[in-house]
Formats: sequence, C-alpha cells, structure tokens
Amino acid sequence: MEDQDSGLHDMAAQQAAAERFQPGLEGPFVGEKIPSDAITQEYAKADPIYVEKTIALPQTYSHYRQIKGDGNCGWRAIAFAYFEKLIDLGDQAQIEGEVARLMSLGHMISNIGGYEYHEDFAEEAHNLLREIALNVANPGLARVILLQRFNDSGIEANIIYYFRILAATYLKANAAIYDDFAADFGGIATYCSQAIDIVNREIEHLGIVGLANLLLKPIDFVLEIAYLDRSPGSQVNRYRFPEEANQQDPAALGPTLYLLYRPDHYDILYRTPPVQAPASSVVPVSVAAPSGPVDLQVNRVNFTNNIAIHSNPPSFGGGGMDVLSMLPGFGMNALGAMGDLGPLTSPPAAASPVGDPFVSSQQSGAWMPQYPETLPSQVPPQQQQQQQQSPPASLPPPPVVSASPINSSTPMTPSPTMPTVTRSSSSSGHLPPLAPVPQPSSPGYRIRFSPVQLDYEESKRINTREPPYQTTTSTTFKNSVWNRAHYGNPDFHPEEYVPDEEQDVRGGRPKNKRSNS
Amino acid sequence: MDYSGDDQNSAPGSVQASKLNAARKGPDSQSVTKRLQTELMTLMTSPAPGVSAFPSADGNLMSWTATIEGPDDTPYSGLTFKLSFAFPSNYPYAPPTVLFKTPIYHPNVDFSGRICLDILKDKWTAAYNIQTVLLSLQSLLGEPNNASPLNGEAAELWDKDMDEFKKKVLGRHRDIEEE
Repeated sequence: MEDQDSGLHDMAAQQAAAERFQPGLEGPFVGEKIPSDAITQEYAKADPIYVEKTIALPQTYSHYRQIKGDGNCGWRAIAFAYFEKLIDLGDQAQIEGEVARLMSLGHMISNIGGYEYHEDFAEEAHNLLREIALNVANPGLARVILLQRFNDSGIEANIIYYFRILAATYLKANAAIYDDFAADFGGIATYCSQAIDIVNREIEHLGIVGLANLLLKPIDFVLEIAYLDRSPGSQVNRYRFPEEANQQDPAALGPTLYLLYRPDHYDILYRTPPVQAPASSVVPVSVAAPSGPVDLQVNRVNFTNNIAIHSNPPSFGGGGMDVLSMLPGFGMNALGAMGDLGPLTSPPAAASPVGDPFVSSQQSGAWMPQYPETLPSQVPPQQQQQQQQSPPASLPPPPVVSASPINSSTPMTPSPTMPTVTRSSSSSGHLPPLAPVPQPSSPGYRIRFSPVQLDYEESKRINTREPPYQTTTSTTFKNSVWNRAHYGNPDFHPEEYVPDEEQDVRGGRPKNKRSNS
Repeated sequence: MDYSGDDQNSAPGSVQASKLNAARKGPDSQSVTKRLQTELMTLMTSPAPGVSAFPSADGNLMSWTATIEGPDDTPYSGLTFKLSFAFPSNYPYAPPTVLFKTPIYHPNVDFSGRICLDILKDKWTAAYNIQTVLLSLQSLLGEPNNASPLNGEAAELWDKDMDEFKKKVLGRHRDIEEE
C-alpha cells in the first residue's frame, strides 16, 4: 500500500535519474575494482529495464572498475584491461614476448600508419610491460604499479595514444577492407586522422576492431563488451571482438577482457568465476545467452503456466511430454516445467545438472518455493522461510487463474495441441505491461500452456486461497523487486486494500472477485 | 613591425584548441623537450623541401622559428615567410601556437599573422608534428579555404581578380629581420 504510493512517486524520479546519468568526470583515470552491486544501486531508481538488467549484472560480472569519462575511456579501459590480464596470467615470458611483438610493430606504425613520432608513445607502453614482467611474481605489486601508471597523466596519455595509433595502423594496413566502413570520411585514412588520432576522442567500433585484431587476437585475447541500454531484455547484450569469437563456444575462448558500455562510456567488468560448469551437451553455444540468468527469466514468465500444468496432472500424459521434448531447446528453457513434471514423465537426464546452477541463484530461488520438490539443497534463507509457509507439496497450489473472470467465461478442456490460443488473454490478465517481452527466437516459447486450458471444475474444486506472495516474508523481501507488489516485478500486481474484508488483503485480491469465478 | 603582441593563432570568436585540451594534463615538460629534440633531429637529417624550422635563439626549446617558401605556381612563388611556433606544455596532445611573422596577404591569415587552419585547432592530433604543420601551411598558400576567411577581401579577390590579389600579396610582403 505504501509501496504502491511511493512507487508512483518514484516513476518521476526514475525518469529524472536516467536522464541525469553522466559518466564520472571526477576522480582518477582508473578507479579501484569494486563489487558491481554498485551499478545495481546506481540504477535502483532507473526505469524497469535498467533495474532488471543491473540486478542481473552482478550475477555474471561480480566486479567492475570505473574509468574516467574524459573521451578516452574506451581506449583507457581496453588498455588497462590488457595489461591487467597479462598480470592475471602471470606468464613472464608472455609479457616479455609482448614487448618484443609490439616493438616489432614499429616499422608498420611508421610506414603504414604514418606515425613518425610514435616512439615516445610506444616507449611508455613498452616500459610498463617490462615493469610488469619484472614483478610478475608479485601480482599485487604489479597491479599497484599498473594502477599508478594509469593514473599518472603523462604516462597514461602516451599509452592511450599508443593504443590509438596501433588501432589506426591496423585499419590503414587493411584499407581495402575498412575503406567502405569509413565512406562518410572518404576512406579509412581520413577516418583515422579525424576519429582516432584526435586526442580525447572516444573510441568507436572501428577503433575497437583495430585494437582487437592487432593487439588482442595474436595472443588469443578476446574482448567482450556488455551493452547496458534500454533495449528490451532482462540482460545486457554482449558482443565479442574479434568478430569470430561470437560464434565460438565461450568455454573455448582465450583470456577475455570484459567492458561495460553505457551510451558514451566504458568501464571494466570482471566476470564472476564460474562455480559449476554447465552441461555443454544441453546448453547451446550462444552469444546472447551463454549463462543461466537468461533461462531464469523463462522460469519466471512461465510461472503461472507451471501451476496450471501441475494442478491438472491427469490431462497430460506422456504424449504431451513427448511433444515437448521434441522441441529444440525445450530442455533448457522450460526447466521449471520439466522439474515439476518429473514424477509424471522421465525428463532428460541432462536437465538436472543444468538446472542446479540456475536454481541456486537468487533470481530462481525467489520463484521456486511453490515447488519444494524441485529445490536443490542450497536455498537462500529467505526462500526457506517462505517455503515453510507455502502449502504442502502434496496439495497442488491453486492456480492463479482461478480468480480470473476469463477462466469462468471460457471453460476449456485441456489440450496440448492448442496451447497458444488464449495466450494473449491470459497474459493480459496476469502479466502487467512491465513483463519483459519474450525473445521470439527462444524455442522455449513456441509452445505455451494457457491457464485457460484448465478443467473448469477442477480449478473450482481447488479454488482455495491464493498463495501468500506478498506478506509472508521479511521487510527486505517485501521491498525487493522479486515481490509481486514491487513495481519492478514483471508480474507486478499492487496490493489492494479492502476495508470490510481484512483477511483477504493478504492475498492481494478481494474475496468478492473470487466468488465470481 | 611587431606582430608578436598577439600570440594566438585562432580566429576571433573560435575556441582555441589548446583551451579545449587545457583540462587534460599532458606529459611533463621533460617529455615535451625530448619529443621536440627528436623532431629537431628529424628536421635536420631529412628536411622537407621548402620548409625548415629551428629552435629560437634564446635556447628555449619550447619556442621555434620556421620558414616556408612560397610554392611555385602560386601568388606566393619566390617569397619566403617566417613563422613562430610556441609549444604548450602538453605538446603533442595540444597544438603549437603558430603565427606568421612575415606580413602576408592570404584569405586565412589575419593582419596579426593569426592563422585559420583546422589542424591547428579542433582537428589537431598528437600524430602531427612541426613538419606536417609546415607542409599543411605551405599547401594552404596555394589552396586557401575561402569558406571561412579571416581576410574577407582576400578571399573575394582570390575568386574574382587574381591579378589584383597578386598585387596585394606583393604589396604586403616584406622580409623581416632574423630575431
């Protein structure tokens, strides 16, 4: 109730906060490595797309490093991440090899790049490499040196300019390829002089391409950029350089530098170390969805449908499941449903090893308590608490749809063959506009079980209380985005207050509405 | 005649590139000196035809005097022009301040010797150097940018009355003493 009010007020503040965002111009050129929860907090009052993406971000990238947005941030971020990755790898021979390799590029920089006085720029970068190589046995010291050099204006200016001329040299050396990309400038050489050589001019796609190919690719480094913007989706979009890295199995990629891109600004990201390797036989090699959280989103969207399936087990024989299991990608994207239907059919053996990392995360856990049998042992305490208060597993939870007028007016017998007919009506009843648009390419959405497929009599019989989503947990959860009463929740439904039916307020739905069904 | 009173080469009303870059600290003066010594070495060992440059007599490497010979087939053919270079402390991340010391009649140079040339302002890059600036100025003599003139009369005459333009060039030119 108060949540609802403050939520409405927040909308204006969110808009303002989103418009006000400016990359930091204060502070050091390269900041300290800090937990990426800071980004989540920064966007806590932004619009729902940013909220959702930034909540998901720390699950994939645990830390980040702020880069000064003075027009060099993209160059600076790549340069710093390159040096830092060499420290991480800790291979002295490799670092010394880099010095030799970069020095051997000198002729190319002069003759093809046309940079006559590149030595000063290059020397600073080479010196830093040598310093790192000397201290490779003491990575802590090497990192201190690196951070110190990048925050020394004289040194970092030279290093960044060196990276600029490296990128431009590569582009000029491959003018036949890149001239067409710089047609607006009348060729790649002009592009370089007007877009790359200019001091304090931000990196663009071509610059990244040049660096990735000349600097990173020969030592098998990959650059992955996460784009945080308002495009639809629950996750940041990712793109890798060099381009061919996008088609490769992420597990097979070389050392990867991660950047976070927000319009006009780059910071460095650090990926959360993988706790458990996903079963590669089930997870397809995909650029956009290499990790768990994308799939978790599917579970959440399917939430209502899972109940519908569960509440009417006899209608789904093995035949229905056979249809499902033939769908490509079903095993990955409909894990929630698979778990529930476990007793009825035998799900593919690969499903459970894949499921574990998803379920163990915060996002999934918040939505699983209705199905205790699918929960692995590690459940956040918060969810355990909720679990205790939820109905016993033997008693199927009442379908959310039971209160919906749609259901009573259009009784239908369940049929696996007509799953999508009433999809729109059911979603309009239960999914608020905030619900993320499912990716059309995701095979998990090809078949949808509509709540309306429920046997009408069956749903009336089990028409008991709606599970208490909103009031069973601590204030922390109440204010969390996973609460359905939170405006950021895809299934947002405001709490309602009915004065003469106090006891029903907890359910968030007045009794008279339910009695109509 | 003293043209050194005004030591900026930007057009009136335009933002100086050095000011745009002022917020950014560049290398320390030691590395600027090193860079300029390298450039001096290159200019002496492999000079470009028609241009030359040398540090000013006072031994301050941050201030140079340069010479451009007027290109053949231009109204400036046969004439020699002296220029002053003043290097900022964050050179080459900011452009040098370049002025014509020799009086010159040119659409893109005003009567104080200030020059309107994009690479000395917003198009400056740290990849440029003294020689590239001099070569650019040399080609500017034969190909003025009449779209943004500092000397409107010169721009107009260049387009309409080349004979009159040449007269004005010769009338304005006079050799100055070595400083």
